[in-house]
This record gives sequence, C-alpha cells and structure tokens, in this order.
Amino acid sequence: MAPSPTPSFESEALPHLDTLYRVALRLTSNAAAAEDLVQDTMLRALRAWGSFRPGSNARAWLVTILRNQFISGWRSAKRGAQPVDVEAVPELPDASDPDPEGRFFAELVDDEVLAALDALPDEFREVVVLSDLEGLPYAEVAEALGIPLGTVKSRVFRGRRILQGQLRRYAEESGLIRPTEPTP
Amino acid sequence: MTHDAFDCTAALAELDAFLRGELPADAAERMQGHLVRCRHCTEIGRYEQAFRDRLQRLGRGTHCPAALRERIATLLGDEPTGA
Repeated sequence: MAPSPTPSFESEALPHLDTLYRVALRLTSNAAAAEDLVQDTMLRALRAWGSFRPGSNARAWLVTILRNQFISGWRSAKRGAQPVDVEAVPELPDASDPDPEGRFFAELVDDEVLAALDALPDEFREVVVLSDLEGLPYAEVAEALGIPLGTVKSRVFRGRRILQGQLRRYAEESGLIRPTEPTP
Repeated sequence: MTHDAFDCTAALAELDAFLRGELPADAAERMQGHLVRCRHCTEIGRYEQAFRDRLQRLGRGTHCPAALRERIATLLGDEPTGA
C-alpha cells in the first residue's frame, strides 16, 4: 500500500490554535506572553513538520512543542508557584464538605477560578488544563507531556484536589458556603 | 467481579472514567445501578461533575485572538516548510 501523502501543515495545525492559545495562557498567566509562545510554537512546528508522522496526533505533537518552548524559554521568567506536599493531598473530596454536590463551583467568577489555576504548581496545572479544560484523553496528555499514563492520572487527581480546596476557600470567603468545621 | 462485589471502593475507582464517558456500556450500567443506591457516591459524582463543568466553561470562553491568527497565517506563508 502506498504511504498516505503528508497532509499540509495548515490543515493539521491551524484547527488547534484555540487549544494552543488556552494552554499557553494558563502556562504563562499572561496574554501577551501566551501570544508570543503560540507564535513561536507554530513557527517551530512548521520547521519540524518533516518529522511529523502522518496519521499521528497533531494536537499532542503541537502541545509537546509548545510545552518544550515554554520550559526552555518561558518558565524561568514566570513566578514560581508555592511548592506542595504531593503525598499529603488526598485523591478524593473531603466527606465533610458543607456543599457535597459542589453547587458553589458554578457561582464562582472566572477571575477566582483563573487565580486558583494559576497558583497550581506547573506539574499539576499542565495536566489539569489539558485534561479538564481542554478535555484531552489521558493517553493524549501522556503523549503530549512525555510522561506515563499512571503519572498523568495521579497528577490530575491531586491537581483537582488542590484546585478544589482553593476554590472552596474562595467560596467560603465570599459567603457562598459556610466554612468547613475543623476536623478534631 | 460480581454485581454484589461492586461496592463504593470499586465505584469510586471507576467514577472518573464514568464521568469522562470512557467506561464500556456494561460497566457504565453497573455504575448507574450503584449510584441509584448510594447517596455518598452520587454526591461525589455530582461534586466532580460540577467542578469539571466549571473548568470547561472557562475553557470554552477563550479563543485564539483574531490578530494572532492573522499574524501566524502571514508568518506561515513566508516560511519554507520543513516537510
């Protein structure tokens, strides 16, 4: 069987610009930096187009390039997030939650959700953004980040708990829910 | 695993895949059966879904700016492709 012809870069890459921009925005926390990062990513991807395997996942390939660009040139310029004790973060929600069905999530404003996301350490933020904001399957997140599937799941679950904890604090501060009783 | 052995521990292990729509039909049906009977797992499922819905709402509202799109299209037109 003849090999399938290489698709055009434009037809494969341009449909993913929204995803790339949103991921860049959440990695850099800055609109101007995100635009530069996406532009650099597209130029680099175009020059590397010969190494793209037709039929493989263009979105994951592009996210890999974007993330590599971010790590090599951008991450150092960004403020470092507070370190988190990963092992201390549970994978399931707190059973004593005063709003056990999470109705407060819908009431939070975008700025609060964005602030909580931006405060996540990079290793958690990137998997939560790709998995939960962009809806990428775990296997695609693993491919894009070059880490094992089990690591993706573990980081997504813990990243969600950290994020949910912060969003619950915002909800408590703004009176959407009453504060959780301290555990004796 | 028999139906009776599908307890909360087993349900919570599959809850994420269920919410992502990635469970096979028979496993999804088993999960729905458990959720009907179990208030605890239902609450956790709704909590996770509410969180997921909020994040997805955030994602849907943001698009690549038109000016950036145009700039990239111009740059691509000027560049030799690596293919």
